[in-house]
Amino acid sequence: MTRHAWIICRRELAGYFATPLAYVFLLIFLVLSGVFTFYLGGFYERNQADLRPFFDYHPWLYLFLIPAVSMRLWAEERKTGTLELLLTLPIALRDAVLGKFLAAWLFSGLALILTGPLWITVNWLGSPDNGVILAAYLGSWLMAGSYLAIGECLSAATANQVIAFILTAVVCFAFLAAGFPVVLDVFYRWAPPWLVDGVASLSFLAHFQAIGKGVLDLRDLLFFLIMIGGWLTASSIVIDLKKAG
Amino acid sequence: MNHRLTAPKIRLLLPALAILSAIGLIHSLPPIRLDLTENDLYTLSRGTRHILAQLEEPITLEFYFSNRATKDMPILRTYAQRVRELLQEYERLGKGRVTLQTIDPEPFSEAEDQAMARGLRGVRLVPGTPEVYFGVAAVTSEDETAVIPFFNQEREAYLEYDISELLVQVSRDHAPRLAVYAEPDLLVRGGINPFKHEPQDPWVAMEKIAQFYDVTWLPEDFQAIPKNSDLLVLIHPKALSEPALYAVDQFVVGGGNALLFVDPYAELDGPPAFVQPGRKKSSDLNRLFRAWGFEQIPAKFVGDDHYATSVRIAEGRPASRHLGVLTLDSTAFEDNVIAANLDKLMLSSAGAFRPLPETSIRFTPLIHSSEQSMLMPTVALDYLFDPAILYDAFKPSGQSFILAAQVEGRLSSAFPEGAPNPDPAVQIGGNADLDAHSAPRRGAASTPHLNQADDPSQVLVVGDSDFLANRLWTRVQTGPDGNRITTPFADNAAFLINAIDHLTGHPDLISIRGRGRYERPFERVERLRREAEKQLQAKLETLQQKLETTERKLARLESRKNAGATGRSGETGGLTPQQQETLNAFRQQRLQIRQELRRLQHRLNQEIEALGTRLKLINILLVPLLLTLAVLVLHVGRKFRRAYSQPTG
Repeated sequence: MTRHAWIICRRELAGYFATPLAYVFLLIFLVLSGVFTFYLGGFYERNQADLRPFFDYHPWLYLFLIPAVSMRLWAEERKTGTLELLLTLPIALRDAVLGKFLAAWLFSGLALILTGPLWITVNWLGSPDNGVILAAYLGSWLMAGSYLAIGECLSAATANQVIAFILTAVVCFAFLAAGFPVVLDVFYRWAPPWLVDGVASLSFLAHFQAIGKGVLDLRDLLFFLIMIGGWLTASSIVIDLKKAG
Repeated sequence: MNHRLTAPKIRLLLPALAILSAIGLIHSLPPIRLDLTENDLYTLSRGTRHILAQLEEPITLEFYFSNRATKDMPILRTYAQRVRELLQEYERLGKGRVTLQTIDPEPFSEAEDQAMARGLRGVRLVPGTPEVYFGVAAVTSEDETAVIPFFNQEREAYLEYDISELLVQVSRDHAPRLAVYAEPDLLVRGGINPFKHEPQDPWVAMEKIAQFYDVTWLPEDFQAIPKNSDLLVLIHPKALSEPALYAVDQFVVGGGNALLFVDPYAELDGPPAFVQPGRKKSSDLNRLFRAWGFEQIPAKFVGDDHYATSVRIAEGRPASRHLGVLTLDSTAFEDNVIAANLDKLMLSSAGAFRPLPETSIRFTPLIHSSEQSMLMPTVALDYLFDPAILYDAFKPSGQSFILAAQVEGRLSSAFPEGAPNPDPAVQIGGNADLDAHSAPRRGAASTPHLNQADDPSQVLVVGDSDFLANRLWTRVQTGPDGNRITTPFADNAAFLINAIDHLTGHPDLISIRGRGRYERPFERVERLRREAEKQLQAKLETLQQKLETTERKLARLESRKNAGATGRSGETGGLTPQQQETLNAFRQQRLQIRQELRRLQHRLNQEIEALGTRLKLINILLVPLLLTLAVLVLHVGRKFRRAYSQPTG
């Protein structure tokens, strides 16, 4: 990471808190994750000292919360015309892409940290396996990063934030659902097992759950890092392309 | 123009392709992982590493998995992936001594024939689809084989144990040697039943162990245990002579493992009490047990209302619940390798064990009764024509009793003075045969007396011997071809085999335990519940008692009514109007008591529910509220600063 990326990151983060957007996002995330954990997941009634009901809903929560963060990353710059300004600055395009991504990623990390009371609650109630919880937090953060990278790329592709939001949600859903039997069914009929497994291995859910068990497998970590890296590269190409077009 | 636009667009395909191929490549990477779980759930234990290091000859692990046939079974495939990775870990740590082969036995292929020849079991998981193979065979260079016929996902917590056990099984040079002693009157090996004067077949459980192990039967008057025995099994050791007790003591203190079925009341030991009154039907090894750090509560059996079984004591009589005949389900099994994944065990008038205070041994309960149980005197069983009578004296103790346990540690001898006096007069054996005694004792004397063990031993005790008898776990019929067909209805034999495998396994194997501590209850909530229960216990108990009495009375009246109704067709059945009135009154009373019980139960839960609500509020609203507050403070602060700075700036 270069110094420029860091500068962009800080500028972006400051931007988040200048408007109520960040606050609203955090509020919704915290309230919803609490409601899901306690009401849908039956956290208290199941009488088990772990955070499964909390993490189980993250992929779905992110599905509409992360696009809300990522939609404005580039679409807004394009709409307000600050994109050209940004591109004329002596900053490499990939630094700008990386900086914006980092800001959003750190922000989603902050949202996760603010769920700390739940961790305190579960430790107060019983003796959970904190290694597993730590791994699940990390997995959740990596997954949020992947959603954000996808969102950044699609935000760069359009000037309309609503379209960016919807596109991101759709693509993320596709990656989420890739491991579901319903989706794989389409492939079973004709595809060889390796292809079916290949499609299944693209699923966020499978890798997130693998990490959430408490094991940091190099392959799962690489999966998310490659996802992030790949989509960020795609973002720079898209911006470059739009500029050229 | 068109041309100019497509060229950069192609560039977009590059990251897409890169992502796909990179993700494809990831999966061929070796599993490098950091296990963050508390018990290292996903890392091979030291016991397994030790077993692998001690392998003398190379072993091939043939992993059979029907890849194509399981295409649309994602859960099974995920588990198969976990198994495969664990096997890869064995291969990696085996450093050349273990080779892993993955085989897909497609239908009608050579591989399928091979799988069947190895003893794997094809399972049709979905009707109309091909059978699925999902097992492993460990094969030595001399083609000796041990298999796991099909991986049962319920045993996931014991996956490592099962695979390591396979390695131990296939690499040992002889079948485990058991020295077995059973009370002769039980006729475990068949014979003529002296009381009924009919031939009796051997117990199926005994045939099973003879099939899998190298069994040496100890004679009735044994005084020594073959030194090379891997395990000593005693079934209802009722009348062991002093030298025999000494031999057992020294075998175990010397580091030998033992599996002991010690029964406070063995139903099958001789004829019933009305035929032979005063017959002793109990075995008692407390003299040894107490020296070893635990005891069996003598002359008492565990009556348990929760696990009680309906039995028919004689032909033509109605079945009724017998407090002493227990049908245990998995709620009664502790989480351990032996009882895990068993569904059902049946015990009859089983005794209870408890560790002595301040003992240094490790005492691990394996099976326990419910809290709806109490210790009852075994004399109650002597003239028991109607098991329902046991209920008259029954009062749940609110405590669960240990029916089987595993004891580990360096044990002390029960004979601190050394070998017992050779004088036959002090022997308990009664009609001791002098000639038979003399020879083995000389042999025994040649080994020095051990007072304190150098090596740890494993003793597994079960408080019942009827447990092994056919009537408690299997139906035996004669098929049309004259062969016996046995249909198990309980897992007693599986428990026996698991226990023997466990005790004759490698010491390293014993160190591998089930590592899934999946149950992590909210301790604070449990504590609350217990406290609330303690407060209301007395009240609950009286109510419960009242309910039971009422129900018993009701049942008696109702059965009389029914009996009358079938006997003659009077409209009130066999009851006088007065009785009918009492019946109605009882019904009313039962309803009231139940209502009150429910109310109490509700009060019990109130506090727990209140805590839940508080936690919900804190977690859902507290942080958002604090956040709002922080934002407001910031906002106001900012406005303030702006207002201040305006006139000057």
